[in-house]
Amino acid sequence: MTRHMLRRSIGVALLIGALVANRFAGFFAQDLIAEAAILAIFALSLDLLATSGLVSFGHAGLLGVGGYIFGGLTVLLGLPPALGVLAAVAGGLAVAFVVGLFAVRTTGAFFIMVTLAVAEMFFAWAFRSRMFNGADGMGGVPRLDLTSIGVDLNDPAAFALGAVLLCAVIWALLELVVASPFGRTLDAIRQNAGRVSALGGRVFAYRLAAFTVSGGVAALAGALKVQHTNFLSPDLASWFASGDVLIAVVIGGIGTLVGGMLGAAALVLLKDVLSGMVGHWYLFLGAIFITVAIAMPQGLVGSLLNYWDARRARTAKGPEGEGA
Amino acid sequence: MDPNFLLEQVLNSLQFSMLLFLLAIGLSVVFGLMDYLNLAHGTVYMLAAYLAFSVTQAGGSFWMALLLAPIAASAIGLLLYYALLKRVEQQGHLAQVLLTVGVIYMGTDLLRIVYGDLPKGVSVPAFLEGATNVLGVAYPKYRLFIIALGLALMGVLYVLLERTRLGALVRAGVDDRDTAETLGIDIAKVFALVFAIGAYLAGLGGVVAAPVFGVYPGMDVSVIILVLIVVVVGGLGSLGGAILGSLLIGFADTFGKILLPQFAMMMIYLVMALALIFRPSGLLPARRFSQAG
Repeated sequence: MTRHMLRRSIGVALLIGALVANRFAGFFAQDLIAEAAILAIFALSLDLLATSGLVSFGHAGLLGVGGYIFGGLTVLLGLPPALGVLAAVAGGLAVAFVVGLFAVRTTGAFFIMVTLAVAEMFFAWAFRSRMFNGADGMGGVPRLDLTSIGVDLNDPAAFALGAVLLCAVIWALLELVVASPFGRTLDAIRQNAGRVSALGGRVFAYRLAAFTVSGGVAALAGALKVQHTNFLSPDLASWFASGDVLIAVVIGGIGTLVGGMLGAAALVLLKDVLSGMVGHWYLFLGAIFITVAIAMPQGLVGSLLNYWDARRARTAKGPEGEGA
Repeated sequence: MDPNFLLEQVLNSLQFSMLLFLLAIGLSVVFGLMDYLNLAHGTVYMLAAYLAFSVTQAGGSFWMALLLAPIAASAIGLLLYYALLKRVEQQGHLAQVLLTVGVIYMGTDLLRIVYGDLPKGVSVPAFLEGATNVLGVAYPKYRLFIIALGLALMGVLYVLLERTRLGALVRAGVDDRDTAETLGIDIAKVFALVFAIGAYLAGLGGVVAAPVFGVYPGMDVSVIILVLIVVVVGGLGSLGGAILGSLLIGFADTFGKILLPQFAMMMIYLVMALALIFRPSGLLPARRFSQAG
């Protein structure tokens, strides 16, 4: 089995697991599954960006853009939710494109901080916005109306099912993107931007495109998140939310797509289980982060794949082998 | 604007800048020297503030707290470095972020278990109580003390970095680590020393900040983002950058709250975004070109 087959099998297993669990789970578990699926979509968007070698610490800003566009159109203007979702994605693409025009000129820690800055500016606006009820947030955000095809998304099981299926679709699409010539170029840029540039590759344009697409997916996650909670709040765009999704991706394994989904599921589950079991649960969450960072610095999926490659290389060519 | 009011705000900005500087310089040099993104730097600051509270609770004076707490916090910081942080030194920023966020979570909850959730206060020493007259403005003496301490430490650090052997080793390491090592400089040892000094200064910041802002769980997180911004705006690994960044952010924050209360939080981020658009490696980086690609 190749590295990519193993990676994709993990993703398929994860999604099937979520679907099966959703079928038999109770109300609270279905709520968690929906939350994990939405965080997984968000994590996928961040991981796509990471394919180009850029890590954002302000991705929640784009989540917020999606949420606020959806909330604004449906709650304030009374437009249909379907239109809200489309507008949210379009808005995410547009905002990411404009921000990216100057943000992707920086790299490394500087890119991390620029994205944080932009997200915090959005947070500051949302926090004060009278139109959106400022820090108190705004309730009554409707969910997508699918009654015409016989699905009531206000039913937790149906909503969780929808979120998992959408996550599967986004994942499949991003797998295609990553495997395409565009995705291969992004990976080359991640490995050595200078060399790609010397070969005539337009590093800036590719990174801008990756950031833009990533923004569209993040905004979609935002539009889903406000539907899930029925609530719009500036916390959507806070740096805690950016940190959460970053940690989900790092725990799972950055640059593996599947890792982001696994990390999201692990984080949502861990938080729920720990907070239900013990009082000072951040102590345990912190200990788990530290353990993962030290034992598996490439993340769960990343380390597993590396282990897999190393083992295959050994069995294929003996201990001296240099298998691909 | 009323000149007295303006002067007061300038002093407020300076005072805040000095606190930012105490945290920023350690983070900046650690980042510049080892490319290590240590988000748990603020945890040392918080720990020192709590230790200062304990010292004053036990009957010690503020000065005793100012002497002991940063040293203890620095020692714990160094211990933490050898026990945990060092293990992901070669693993890139993301593993470092994950590990140090874990340290932040654990540190906050451990302090919560020991001290409880309620904010604690540390009182100002007697002779720094009350206000004094600065060019016709009554200004709290303690805040003037913070400004004086900050300026004095800038001077000490300037001498340390620019005029001593250790300073030369640090600058060589920041400039080109590999070459410095080839020349026989034990960068690991230099780094441990720099880490300890940085943690000491962060601890000092924690003790000094305690009477002004109070001591509470989460005080580390609220400050670390600002400090990261200072470091990025100023540029990595340089004293001048840390000073300039602290002043810019300190003033932007204070004056943002006065001039545009509606968008107070936006001000610092605006400054940072502008600084990075025109100077993507910060205003005064130790290295002129960024090595990231």
